[in-house]
Amino acid sequence: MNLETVTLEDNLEYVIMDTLEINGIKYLYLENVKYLQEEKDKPEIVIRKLDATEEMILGLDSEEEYLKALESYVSKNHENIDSD
Amino acid sequence: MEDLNTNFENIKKLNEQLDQHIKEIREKYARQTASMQSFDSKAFYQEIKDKKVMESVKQSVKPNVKVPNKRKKIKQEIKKYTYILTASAVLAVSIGGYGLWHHKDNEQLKNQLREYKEQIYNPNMIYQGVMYNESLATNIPVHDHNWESMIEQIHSKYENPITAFYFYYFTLDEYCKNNYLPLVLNEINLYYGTNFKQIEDVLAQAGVKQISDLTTYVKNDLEGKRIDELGNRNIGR
Repeated sequence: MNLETVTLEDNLEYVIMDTLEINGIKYLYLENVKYLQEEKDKPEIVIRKLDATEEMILGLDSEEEYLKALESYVSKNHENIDSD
Repeated sequence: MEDLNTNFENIKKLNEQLDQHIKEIREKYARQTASMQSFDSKAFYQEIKDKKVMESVKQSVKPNVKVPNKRKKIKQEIKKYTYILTASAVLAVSIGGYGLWHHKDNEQLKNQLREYKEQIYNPNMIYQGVMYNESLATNIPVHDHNWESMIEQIHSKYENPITAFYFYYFTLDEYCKNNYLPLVLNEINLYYGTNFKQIEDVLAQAGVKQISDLTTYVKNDLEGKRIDELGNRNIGR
């Protein structure tokens, strides 16, 4: 499986685990490459979003936005587990 | 210097108090969710303030941050399921692996799980079983395992239902192997969304003919890692 990574402002590389569109906005679900490679028990999850041009990755605006984005991710991937 | 040492000690005490506070809140939510009250994810998230959740939020919620969307391709097999299940754990970190089942839209599964837990945790059903031990010349409890902790440990570790079944099976004592396998299969079906009616269904899905052949399957599934943690004590029980 080929994956893509991006580098955030902390100069760390993050794998893009998934992209979901919620209310017209694309959210990126990222995990720190180092933690994935080391298979840590808990992830270093970061959720960001794309701007309208999709040229820039933006931070989220609020904790509520974070929670909604995370719930959507869990909900979508829970269905995928059952269908595999 | 004395002031610095005093401040450090104060900070250390505050951190210990915070850890204790977090632990108490986790235990409170574990008790609440065990009694199957409705799960308010927002309230949970706001109250728990788990360090990992807060770190994730801190890295994500940055209203003024912009970085270029420049992608780099990497060729690496990374188990996506680990991320999915641990993402769920971040959302519901204190309820020991049942995160997915407490999703607020999953009412049917919550009800099924509630009914099942009322059945399986009913002490009249399981915990009062005894059998006569000839060498000790007395009745002894038949169960040398704790159902609740066993279920929580297995589900939180293994994403493959066949692997989970394997660890259930070799942890159970003989009495439960002989009498309670339907309950175990039901638990697995509820959690993993499978439809095992009997042990032969599990074996068929694994492509093996008998239980002892599952060891190879599980080893392959875990790439030889976790089976060594359990050790060989459970094999052949």
